[in-house]
Amino acid sequence: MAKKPPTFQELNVCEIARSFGEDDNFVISAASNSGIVGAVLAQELYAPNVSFYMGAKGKGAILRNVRYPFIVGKPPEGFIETLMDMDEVFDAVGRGKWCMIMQPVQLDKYGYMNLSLVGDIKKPHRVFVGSRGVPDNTVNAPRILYFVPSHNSKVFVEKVDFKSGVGHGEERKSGKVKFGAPVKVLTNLCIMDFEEKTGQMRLKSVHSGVTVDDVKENTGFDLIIPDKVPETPPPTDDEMRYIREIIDPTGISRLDYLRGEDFQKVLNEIMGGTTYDHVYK
Amino acid sequence: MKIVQLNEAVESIENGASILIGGWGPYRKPMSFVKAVALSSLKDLTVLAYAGIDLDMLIGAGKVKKGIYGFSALEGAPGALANFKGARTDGSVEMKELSEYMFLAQFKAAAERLPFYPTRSGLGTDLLTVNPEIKTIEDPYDGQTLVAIPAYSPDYAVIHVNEADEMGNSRIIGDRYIDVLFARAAKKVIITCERIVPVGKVQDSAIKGIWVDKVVESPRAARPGACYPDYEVSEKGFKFYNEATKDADAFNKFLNR
Repeated sequence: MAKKPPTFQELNVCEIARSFGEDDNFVISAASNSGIVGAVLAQELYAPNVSFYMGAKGKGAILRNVRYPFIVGKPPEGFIETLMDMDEVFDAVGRGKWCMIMQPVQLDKYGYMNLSLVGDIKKPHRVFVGSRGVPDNTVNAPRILYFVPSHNSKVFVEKVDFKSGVGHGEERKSGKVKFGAPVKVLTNLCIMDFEEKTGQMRLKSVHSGVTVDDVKENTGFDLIIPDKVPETPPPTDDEMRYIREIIDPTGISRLDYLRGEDFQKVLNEIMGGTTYDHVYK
Repeated sequence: MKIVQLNEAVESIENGASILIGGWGPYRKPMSFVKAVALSSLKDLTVLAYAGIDLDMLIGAGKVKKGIYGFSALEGAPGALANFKGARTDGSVEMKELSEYMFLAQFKAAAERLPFYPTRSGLGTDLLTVNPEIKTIEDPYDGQTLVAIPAYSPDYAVIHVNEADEMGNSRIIGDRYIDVLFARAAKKVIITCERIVPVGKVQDSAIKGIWVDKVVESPRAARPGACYPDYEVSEKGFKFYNEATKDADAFNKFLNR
C-alpha cells in the first residue's frame, strides 16, 4: 500500500520538532494540537530532555510518552511524569525554562504579536482574552514559535493594533530585552523566520504545492523573500513513522486548521477511533 | 472564631472596596460569594482577577467601577464573556489589563510590603502605553531597564478552597494557582470552602490561618466552574450563564432566580 505523501500539517509538526535539540532542558507549552504533537516528536527524536505541559488532575502536568488520541486535559495516568502548580510555572517563565508555541491574533513584520484587541488601544472595537502571558514569555522564554493555521492578511499586518508580545524591534537591538525572541512562524502555507540584520520576517520555505506569490498575496506586509525559496523539507522516515504510527495515528494536528462542521466531522472520526489506515490511506 | 455565614462575609465589605478574587478562569472561583455580591447593595468596587465569569458577572450586575485583570478567559469552557467585552469596548467600566506575571508581581510587592516589584514583563509592549502609571527603573548595578510594578494590597481577597478549619488553615487539592500569594497581599482574607473540618485536619495547608480573617462553608461554591476533585467544569452551567448575558432582562432574571 502506497503511503499518502506528507501533508502540510505534518510538515509543520516536523518543523516544530526540529526547533528543539539535545541541549534543551525546559518546558514546552503549546496552545495547539500541532504544537503538542511537535513537542512530543521533539522529545522522541531530537530533544530527550524537553518536557511538555498540559492541564491534568486539577493541576498542570509534565507529560512524557504521550500517545494520541485522548481528551484534552485528561491524559492517561501513564503519560504523567509529575504535576506542577501555576505559581511554579511563573517561576519557570522567569528563569527562562518555559518555551511557548502560540497562536497570535495579529503578527507584524518585526514579529510583534497581538493577543489583546482590534482597533484603538484606548477604545478597541473588539477584545480578546487579554495579553495573558505573552508579554512575560516574549522577554523570558528560551525561544518563541508562532503558529498561524490560516495564513491571511488579517493576521499578518503591517503593524499590530496592540503590542502584547515583543518582536525584533529597538528594545531587542539595544539589548534592553534579551530573551524570549520569536524565531519561527509556521502557517498552512509556509515557514518564516527573522532576518538577523533587519529583524524583519523572512520567507524560509513554502509547503509543497504553495507558491511564493500565494504567500505574498496573503501577507499584509512586505516579507523578505530570498532569491531562492526552497520547499519545506519533507519528513524523514523516522519522523513519518513516529507521527503516523506512534504519536498521532488519528491525525489530531488536522483539527487546528478546521472550523465548524469540518472540525466536528474530523473530531468525531478521531473520537470514533479512526486510525492510520483511514486517515492516511 | 473566624467562621461566618456567607451573607455576613458580604456585609463586612464596604462600598468602593477592592476585591481580589482567587482561582483561575473557570477554576476554583468563589462564585457563591461573587453572586451574593452581585445581589447586594454594594457599589463602586474594584475587582481584580485572573478572570472568568466572576468579573463578567459583577460587571453585568453594575458593581464594578474598575476591573484589573491578568486575563479574561474561560480556558475552553463555553461562553463569550459578553459583559466584560461590552464594558471593555464601550468604556463603561475602567479597565486595567496586565500580563499574567505583571498581575502577580503587584501582589509580590504587597506581600513583602515593598513599594514595587521589578520585572522584565511589560518591556516593549503596549501594556506600558495603556498603563502610564507603571514606570520603568534603571538597575543600580548594571544599568539595565526594568519595569517597576507598583504594589497593590487589595482590601479583600476571596478564595475558594476544598477544606478549611475554623482558624482558616486551608487545603487546596488541585492547582494552588496564585492564591497563596493573593492571601498574603490582601488586607483581609475571606475563605469559602467545600467543607469545614476540625482543627488539626489541615496540617498540609496551602494557606495558613494567620493570613485568614473569615471562613465560610459553601459547598459547590465554584459552580459552574470546577473545584478539583470535588466537581468538574459544568459545560451546561456555562452555557446557561452565557445565554443569560445576551440581554439585561435575561441577566436580571438569572441573578434573581
